[in-house]
Amino acid sequence: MRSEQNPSRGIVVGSQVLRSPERISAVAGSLLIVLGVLVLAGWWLGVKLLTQVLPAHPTMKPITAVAVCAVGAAILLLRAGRSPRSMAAGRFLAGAAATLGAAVLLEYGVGDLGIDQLLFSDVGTHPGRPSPHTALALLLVGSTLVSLDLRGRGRRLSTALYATSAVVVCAALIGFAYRVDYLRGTSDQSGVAVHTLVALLVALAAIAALRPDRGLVAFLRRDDPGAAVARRLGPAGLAAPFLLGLLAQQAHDAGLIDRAVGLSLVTLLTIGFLVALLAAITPELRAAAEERDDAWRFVMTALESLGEGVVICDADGRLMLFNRELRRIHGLDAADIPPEDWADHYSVTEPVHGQPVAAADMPLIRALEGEVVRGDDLVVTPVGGPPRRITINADPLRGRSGELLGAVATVTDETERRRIEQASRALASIVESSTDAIIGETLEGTITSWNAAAERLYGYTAEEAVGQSVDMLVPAEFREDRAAVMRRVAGAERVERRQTVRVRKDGSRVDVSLTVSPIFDADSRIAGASVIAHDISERARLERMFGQLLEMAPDAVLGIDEDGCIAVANSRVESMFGDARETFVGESVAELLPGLEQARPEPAAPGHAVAVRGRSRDGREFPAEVTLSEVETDQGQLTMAMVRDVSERKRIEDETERLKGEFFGLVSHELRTPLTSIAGYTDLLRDEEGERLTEDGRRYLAIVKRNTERLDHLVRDLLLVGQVEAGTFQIQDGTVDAVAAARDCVDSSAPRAQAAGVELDLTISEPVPLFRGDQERIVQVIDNLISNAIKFTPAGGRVDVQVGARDRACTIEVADTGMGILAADLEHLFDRFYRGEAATVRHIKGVGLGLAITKAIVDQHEGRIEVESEPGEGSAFRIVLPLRPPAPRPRTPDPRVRSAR
Amino acid sequence: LTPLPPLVLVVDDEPNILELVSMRLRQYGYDVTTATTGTQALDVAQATRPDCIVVDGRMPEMDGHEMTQRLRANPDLHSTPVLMLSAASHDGWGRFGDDGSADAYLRKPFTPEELKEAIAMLLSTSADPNTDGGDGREP
Repeated sequence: MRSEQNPSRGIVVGSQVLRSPERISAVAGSLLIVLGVLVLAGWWLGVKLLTQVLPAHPTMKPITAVAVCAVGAAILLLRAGRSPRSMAAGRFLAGAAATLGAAVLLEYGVGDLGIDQLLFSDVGTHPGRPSPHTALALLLVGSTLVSLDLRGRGRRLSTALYATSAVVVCAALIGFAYRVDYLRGTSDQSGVAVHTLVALLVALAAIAALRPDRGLVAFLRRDDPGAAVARRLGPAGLAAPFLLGLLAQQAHDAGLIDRAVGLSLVTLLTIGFLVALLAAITPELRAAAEERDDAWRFVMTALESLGEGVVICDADGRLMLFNRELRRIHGLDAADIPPEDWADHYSVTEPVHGQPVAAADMPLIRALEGEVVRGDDLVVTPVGGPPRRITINADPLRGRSGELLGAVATVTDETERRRIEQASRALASIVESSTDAIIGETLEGTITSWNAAAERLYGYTAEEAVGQSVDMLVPAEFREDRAAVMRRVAGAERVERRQTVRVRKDGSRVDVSLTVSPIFDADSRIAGASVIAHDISERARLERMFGQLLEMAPDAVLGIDEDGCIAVANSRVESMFGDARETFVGESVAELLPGLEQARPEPAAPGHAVAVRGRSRDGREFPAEVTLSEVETDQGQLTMAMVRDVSERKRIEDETERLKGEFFGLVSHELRTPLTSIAGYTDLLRDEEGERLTEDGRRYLAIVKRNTERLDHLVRDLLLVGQVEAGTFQIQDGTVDAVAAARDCVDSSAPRAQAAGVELDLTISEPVPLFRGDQERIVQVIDNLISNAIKFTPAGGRVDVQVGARDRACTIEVADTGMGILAADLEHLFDRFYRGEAATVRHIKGVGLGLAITKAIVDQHEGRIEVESEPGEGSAFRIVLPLRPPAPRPRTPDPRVRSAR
Repeated sequence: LTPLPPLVLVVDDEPNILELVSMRLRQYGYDVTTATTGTQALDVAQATRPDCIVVDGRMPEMDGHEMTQRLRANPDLHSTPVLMLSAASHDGWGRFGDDGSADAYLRKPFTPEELKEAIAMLLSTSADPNTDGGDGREP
């Protein structure tokens, strides 16, 4: 059977005959019947050639001939594949042959039973009884045939019977060859006839061939070197001693050699013959071994090139053999690794929780327990290598007779596949969860994929859309546009943010922005396109609204691109710059607003207005105020410039400024002229008529005079504040003598201090050089501070004025022991018209201009003013003025006599 | 023969100021002549050749500044020192400020002493043969 499955060359030496064992049994059965019939005919006709063959040899007895016929028929009937009835008939005939043998043997024991002459009464010198040897052989052969198809123990019985028959027949054969009478039964009974011997040999061969799938024939038919040797050596090995013995016997009979020499020669020749046979068969065996080696190499090469890992372990679980892929996956480098050492090379975990897999649960170990493992998912981590996700199958390996030899496992590395699968699943879920419609289509325009957002946007479900032409989404007037896009995509180009219109399932239209990219297949050919559609209907609406707003804006609005060119202009631009707005688009903004780039705040300050000149088409220039803001658009960043023509405002401002000046001049003149009269006539009255006035009259006159001066001061302060505010306040560039100024002030304030019960002292801590500045203004500053200090210091307190110079600065400090300044008031101290809470509550006179003026004057001198105050303890004002060298040319005596006040 | 006292022309549209200034100047020993408008003042000046003119900066029709400018344009009168009575602070307020055309300014309100000093100074500088009338002027 194996030979049929594996008709490889060489191994099947001498199996030609064995290929068709049925034919052997058929021929042999027929031969036996023919032989039996011939012998019977010989007996009947008295032909000695037929009954005896050779003279002086025993005859084949009629009974034997009948039995031979029966055995032959039985063999024919018992051939494989015959019907049960045929089989039964065969067993009956075999039984009959065995019974004849048994009966003859019985006769040898108990005496004549009348069987011998049953067919022929006269059978020559010998009674018609077959030799006991023949009878035994017949009994055994018949029994073998009867027991042929028994099962279990019966089969063993059958085998034993056959073996016994073979021994008996061979003994007879040897006996015949070497003339050993007791072996062929010719001592006192008739021996085994020559043709009986032949018949028995034929019968034995035929029986062996009857059931070729077992026993000797099965062994001989096997496709292995053992059977080949048996097939080669068997027949020759059996025949050689017999034939050589026969030859030696003939030589001895002829008197050529004596018996001992014959025996030695037979032995020697037999050994020589066998050695020669072995030598003859060796190349064939080697070829067979080489062929097996080749086969093994082929298998190993195939294994090595296999994309799956294969590992084979022996029955103890030692990893004996594995291929390249498995070495890669498991990080193995040498074979013969027992299970307890597996962990030295790799660890195995289950994929979900990462738990280590117990030794007993390893697929190979389970396969060694007889389990067939299919598709186990595991993670293998080689020592020092990356973990690999594997699928593993394992099978037990069994020998010919089913004994466990080991196990084999095939391992597929799923790492990459899973990674790709995972990536593609992730990608798919991204696509599916996208808020943009994502559609896959072929270059011909057949929809191949359709995500959830596409369903929401267009109204078709994926089932409805996939397989359809994308034309169902494209309005007729946009077909050509789409074709143009697809031509670019077919040229491996990507088309971004193409604004177009698509039509929904319900027929309504939707503004979309499309990004179309080519899809490449594994061979880098363009297989189709992915179309990402973003619903911009809301944006389109907003854009329209934006456009309307732009038109409504009172300002001219210019959208300026990154190159400084005008991209957008509203209608107001036309009236402001004097041309149709289209003519401005693409033009550099510098044409309209020269100097804008320079005036542009860096970094951009949204809402911050910059003043530039605007220039209209006819060359007219006008003052403009531009507010800039950055806007991100599809076309990149746009700078929106709101341009306002401020000519009118400027004109009004200038006018206001002029009017303000006029007002101040007017106020000052209109107030001062009557003041001059009042003061002048008061003086005149005092000078001319003073002596005629009563004491009270003179006091009243002094009051008029004092209040006139206060009014004058107020007018002066108001004018000064007005100048400070207008930015026109300037000091006279002269020379300051700070010590003299302080001394004058202290002197002139002394009466007031005395009246208030406040002690006023001046300290000159260091000599102060003359410096550049306005003496009169410095006096005003010191006056203000001293006057304030006296005002806010209750009777019994003191005011200390200290003048000094250090660090190239003049320091003038006025410190009092007054009520101090509240923290809340400190920050407003220098605001004009600001009056501290204390001043208000205590009804201290003043309008809140003094410190504002003081600060303005100090600022003009590039100095600073510092305040320290502790409520209830007092305040200190310190003025620090830089000691700038005096102007080189000394001033001519001032004719204006103002400082004389 | 005692020299004639210097003649001072006082110009103001405000009669009170005119009287006050005239009265004070006479007290200080000057001869005083008056005018109430710029035009009139120029005529009087042409006729009387005063040693000094005191003029209000702000007057209707022709104000003190214009009058001074015209005076300077007149070859007969251009060196006559002018004291301008000013309501403005010294650094000025547009056209009402001090424009530098006068030789000296006296800010309102002024004291009799200030008036006296200013006139004395103007007359002394103009009397110096080495200087002409413009020398006391601020640039």
